[in-house]
Amino acid sequence: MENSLIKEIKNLRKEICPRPEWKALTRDVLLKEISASQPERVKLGIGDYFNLVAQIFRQNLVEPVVVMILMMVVFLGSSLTINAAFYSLPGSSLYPVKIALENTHAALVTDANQRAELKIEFAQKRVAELDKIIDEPGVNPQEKKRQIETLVAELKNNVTDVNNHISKMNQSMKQSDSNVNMEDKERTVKMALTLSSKAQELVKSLDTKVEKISAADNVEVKDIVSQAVQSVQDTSLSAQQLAQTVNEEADKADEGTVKGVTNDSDASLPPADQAQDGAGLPADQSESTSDINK
Amino acid sequence: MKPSKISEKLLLLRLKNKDPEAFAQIYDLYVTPIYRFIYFKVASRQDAEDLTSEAFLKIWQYIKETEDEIGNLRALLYRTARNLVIDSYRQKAKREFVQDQEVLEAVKDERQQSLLNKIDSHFEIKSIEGILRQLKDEYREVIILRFVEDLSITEIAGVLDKSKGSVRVILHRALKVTRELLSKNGKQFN
Repeated sequence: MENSLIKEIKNLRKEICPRPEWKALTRDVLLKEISASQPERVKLGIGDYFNLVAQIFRQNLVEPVVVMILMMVVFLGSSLTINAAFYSLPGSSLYPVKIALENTHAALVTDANQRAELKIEFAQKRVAELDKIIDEPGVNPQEKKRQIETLVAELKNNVTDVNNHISKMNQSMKQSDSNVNMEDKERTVKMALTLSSKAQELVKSLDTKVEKISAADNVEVKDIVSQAVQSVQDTSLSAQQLAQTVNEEADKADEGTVKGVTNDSDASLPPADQAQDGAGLPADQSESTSDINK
Repeated sequence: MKPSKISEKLLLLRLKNKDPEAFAQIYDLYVTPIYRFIYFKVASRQDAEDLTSEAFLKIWQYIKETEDEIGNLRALLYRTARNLVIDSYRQKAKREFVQDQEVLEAVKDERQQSLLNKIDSHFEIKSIEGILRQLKDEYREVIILRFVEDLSITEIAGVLDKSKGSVRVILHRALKVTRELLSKNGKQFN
C-alpha cells in the first residue's frame, strides 16, 4: 500500500505544472527587472574559479575527512581510556571508570548464577590489585592505607553481592521445598560448591597478602584486610551450608520415595477382612495375611 | 532535472557576479518545482504564480547582497518560497483583522478553514491532491518535498529548519494520516 501511495503522490509531479506561457512571460519580466537594477556585469576571473574549486574541495573532501578523523579520535580515545582504566589501581582517576565498567558488565548478565561467579572474579581482581599496591615501592604508608581501604571496600561489595545471591538461593530452595525437581537441586549444589571453592581460593590469596602486609609493619591495614578475609570466609561457609542443606533435602526426598513405594505395595493388597476370609487369595497366602493382621 | 553539485556551485558563483544568464538558468531549472511547492500551500494557481515569481526575485536580491556562503541552492530556494507564503498569509490576515491581537491569534484556524472551503469547491476531495490538501500544512509540506520534489531528508531538514530525526517522524505521521484519510474516503492502494 505504501509503495502505491508514494507512486500516486509522485504522479503529481506530472499533473501539476505551471502554464508554459506564464513561465516564459515571468522569465522575461524577471530578466528585464534584474538587468535594469544591475547594469554592469562583472566578469569571472581566475581567482573566482580558484575559490570555487577550493570551496568544492573543502565541502566534498576536507570536511568528510575531518569528520572521519574526529570520529577516529573519539573512538581511539575512548578505547585507550577503557584500556588504561583496565590497568588502573585505587587512587587513580580511572579506577572509578574501571569499577563502573565492571558493574555494567555484571548488570548485563541476565543469569544470577553467572553474575555471582562474575562478582567472585571481580573480587579476585581486587586481590591481584592488592598484591600490586603492597609491592608498589615509594608510596607513603598513609596513601597506601587509603588505597587498600578503597580496594577492600570494593572487594566487600563484590562478596556481599555473592552472599546475597547465596541467601536468595537458600530462600528459594526453602520456599519451593519438595516441588523443586532434582535437576534444579543438582544445579544449586553445583553452584554453591563452585562459589564455595572460589571463595576459599580467595581466602588463601588474601591470607598470603596479609602475611606480606605484616612484613611491611602496617597493623591497621592488616586489620582491614583481615576483615575482608573474614567476610569471604563467611561467604564460603554459607555456600557450603547451602550445598549441604540441598543434599540433605535430596536424601530425605529419596527416603520418602522409598517409603512411598512400600506404601504403594501395601495398597495393592486386599482389605484385612477380605484377607481373613481368604477371598481372592490362594489358601497359603490367606493364612499368612491373617497372621500379619493378628 | 537536478544539477550536479559542481554545476550548481558554478551557477551560484556566476550569480554572485551578477550574471543574468546564470539567473535565467537557475530559473529554468527550478521554476516548476518551486511553483509546485507553493501551489500546494496556497488556494489558487494565481497565488502560486505570483509567489513563485516573487521568490525568484528575492533569491536574486539575496544572492547579490549576502556575504555568506550558500551551501545548497535548492534548499535555499524552497526556504525562500516557504517564507514568502508565510509572509503572504500574515499580510492577508493583517488586512482582514487589523489591530485585533486576539483575533490575529486565531487567524491560522480561520485561514485553514477558508482554505478548506475553497479546496472543497476546486478539488475532488477523493483525489490524492484533495487528500493532501486536507492534511495539515506541516505534513503536506514534508510529503511534497520528499516524494514530489525528491529532496533528501537532510535537505528537507534544512528547508524546514528542523532536525533530521523530527523530519523523519513528521514524514512517518504524515503518511499514516494520508493512508487513514484515503481509506476513510474509500480509496485503497495495493
